[in-house]
Amino acid sequence: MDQDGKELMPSPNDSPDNRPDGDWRDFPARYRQQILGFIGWFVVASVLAPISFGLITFPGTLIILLLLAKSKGSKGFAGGVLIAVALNFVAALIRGVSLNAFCFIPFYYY
Amino acid sequence: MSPVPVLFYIGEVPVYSHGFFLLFGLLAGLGWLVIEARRRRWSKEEVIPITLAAFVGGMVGAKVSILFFNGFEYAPLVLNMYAMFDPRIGPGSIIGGVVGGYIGGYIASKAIGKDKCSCDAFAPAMALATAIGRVGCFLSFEDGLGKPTILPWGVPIPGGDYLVHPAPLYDMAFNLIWFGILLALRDHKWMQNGNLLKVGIAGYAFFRFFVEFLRNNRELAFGLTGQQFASVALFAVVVMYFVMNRQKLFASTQPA
Repeated sequence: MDQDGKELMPSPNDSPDNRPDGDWRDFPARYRQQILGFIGWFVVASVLAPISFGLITFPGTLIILLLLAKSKGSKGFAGGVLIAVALNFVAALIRGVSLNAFCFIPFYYY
Repeated sequence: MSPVPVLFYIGEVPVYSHGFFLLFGLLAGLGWLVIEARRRRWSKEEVIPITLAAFVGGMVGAKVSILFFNGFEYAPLVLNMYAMFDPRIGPGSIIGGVVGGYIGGYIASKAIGKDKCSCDAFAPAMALATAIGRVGCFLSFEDGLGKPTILPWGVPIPGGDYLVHPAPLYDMAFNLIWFGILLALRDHKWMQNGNLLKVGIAGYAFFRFFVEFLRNNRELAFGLTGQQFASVALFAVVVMYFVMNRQKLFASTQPA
């Protein structure tokens, strides 16, 4: 529907054959899902950050990942969420090179 | 020998040995995984999601297992998603990482509908990554160097007048040898379809059980640490798998 309430008919120029090369609509569905899953995780995690202290986000992410990976039509979303979480871990590992990360054990010194 | 927590500086920024070798180990493991995956003609459509899931599963497993190994007082650190990404908090336990990585990779391989397992490519890569990562543990004198010893290769600890076992170096030496053994076994007919990975994990669990007697981790019960209980469980699960599937394993390697 447009602003005037009229049905929007697909333009003849909107068919896949008439789209320019690289048009985002021609991405395979899984890539679109991956991008949405990737961005979606950051958005949801950012929104929940001040209220949940991460204790909702952690099991929530795992449960959503499992559910998305299990359902046939939404594996791409799971891929996007997985990439987002992996990226955070990679960033932590890289930053950890210049920070003295501890391994949860009692130490002899410090 | 004194600890070398800082390897070098880039300008004003210190490069810590623990973080450096952890990252270097993971990158080396990833590099070896790519080499193995190519050798096994493992398609990137499978390698990438399974590796990503194994990585995330490994990182989560390494942290969450700390609850079991070190106690529930660590819950605020290891059950908090944002603390998981805090680079000041260490990666956690290798044993937990191995279990988490396996579970993550398994779930991903099922999710993408993979029938047979090409995950054996992970086995030598894991051993190589662990061996390199342990150098950082030793140089920074982290991860519980070890119990007191009078052996000539014992290392002095800061503030103490006695020697302790260089336990991370034992781990490193074992994993280097294990890496070579897994490479030698990788083309064996019985070591396919996930069997090499299972043997790789069981081998490390077997070694870890014994080396734990020389480390300083918290004892849970019967004089054994949480890592030892986990090692026994891992080893037992793999042995049970091979016992229960021995007919299929043997039959699948018989000439048609």
